[in-house]
Amino acid sequence: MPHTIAHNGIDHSQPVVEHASAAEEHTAPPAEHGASPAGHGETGTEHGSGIHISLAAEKLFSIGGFPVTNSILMSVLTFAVLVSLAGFFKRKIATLPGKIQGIFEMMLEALLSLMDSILGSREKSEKYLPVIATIFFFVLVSNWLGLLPGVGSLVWHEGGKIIPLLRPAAADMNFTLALGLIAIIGVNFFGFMALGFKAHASKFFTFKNPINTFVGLLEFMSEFSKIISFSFRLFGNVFAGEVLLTIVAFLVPYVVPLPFLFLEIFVGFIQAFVFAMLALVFVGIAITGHDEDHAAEPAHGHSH
Amino acid sequence: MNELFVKLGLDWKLLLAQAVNFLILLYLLSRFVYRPLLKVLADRRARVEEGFAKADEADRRLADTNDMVKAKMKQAEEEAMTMLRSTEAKAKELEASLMAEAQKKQAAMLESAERLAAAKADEAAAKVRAEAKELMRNALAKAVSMKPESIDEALIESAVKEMKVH
Repeated sequence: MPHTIAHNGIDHSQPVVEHASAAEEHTAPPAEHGASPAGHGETGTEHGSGIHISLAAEKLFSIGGFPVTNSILMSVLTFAVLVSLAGFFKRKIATLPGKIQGIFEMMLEALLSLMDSILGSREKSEKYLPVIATIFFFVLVSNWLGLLPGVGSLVWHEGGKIIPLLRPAAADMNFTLALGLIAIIGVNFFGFMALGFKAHASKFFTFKNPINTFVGLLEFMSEFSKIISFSFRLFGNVFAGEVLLTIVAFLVPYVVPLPFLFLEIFVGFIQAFVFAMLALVFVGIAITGHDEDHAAEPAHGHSH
Repeated sequence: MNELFVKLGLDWKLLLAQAVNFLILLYLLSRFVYRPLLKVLADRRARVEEGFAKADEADRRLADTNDMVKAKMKQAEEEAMTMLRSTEAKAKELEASLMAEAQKKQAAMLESAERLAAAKADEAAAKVRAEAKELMRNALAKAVSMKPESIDEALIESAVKEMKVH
């Protein structure tokens, strides 16, 4: 077992590729790395090198002081894929749907009816659909793209180090924290828009009685904990999947990683779904007045 | 805390970049996918609802038209029957009046024929009386102009002659 995994599965040091020379790593046969597409470490089984796992996304190069990491590259790639699909899709939109539009409409209808069950009306569902659906598709596509061969196996030489060129976007805290922040800021923004500033703020800051004041403060604190739980849940799951796939591919490169890949496909979907559904439930709670809040209590409980 | 941020690779520039990335994607997808698609779905729903409404309206109109046709047919039948009955009644009235008139005419003709016949009979009688009167005068005149003995004979003869003539 390589030393980086032996301690806690995470290499706390800066990314270092041990033993194997850069050339050897770079020219490793595709079959070997294709079996561990999600692994962004160099398994280097032939040369006896250790697994390279970095908790943080690694910087590939800088553009005007902006650090371009392998993770943000993946995020941009996901963005490009989704925008291309959107551009392609836009030209195909018609009142009488084709196959692709039919599939997409089916997905959208399913999402809308799910949103209806939480928000209570189709009008509200359609209003908040863009945010929820974008979160879902962005996380889903980034997770699934992270499973493709090449992610983790294509490498980049930077200052004598060999760094994976691509790293799943959600395996970077910057991505998940940004999404978490946007989700919670968006949720509160929708709350303000739906109820008015005073009504929404009174959920957190009320001085009617000491108990409500205390509960309000707890609610306020929970908004921050939601950001943390959002970001760490997604990051933890995707990063753990990465580590799992890397280790399995390191131990047995052929066939054995397949079930784990399927598991990661499922996890990728589930995490995207969970993220979107939690954001939806929080929106549902935020746009509901304080008096109606108790009706939404079970949903709130579920969210934690 | 700072160490944790470094270990997790948290960097405000990257965080901002990821957020901006997401927000641009949100804008583009909303603009080019969700809104057009929701519009298409809404349009389609509206058209389907319109179709259903029109179908219902057509059914309703058809039923109304059928009812109207039935009502008109019934009305027409009733009118025809009424007309038939009134025509029959009128015909009967006409027949009766014609009959009455004919009878009246017949009676009048009969009466006039009787009157004519009576007048003819009276005329004939008057004529006979006038002729008899003339005959008698002539006979008397001849009797006065003859001998008394021969008068009787002559009167008788002339009377016989006259009788024979007539």
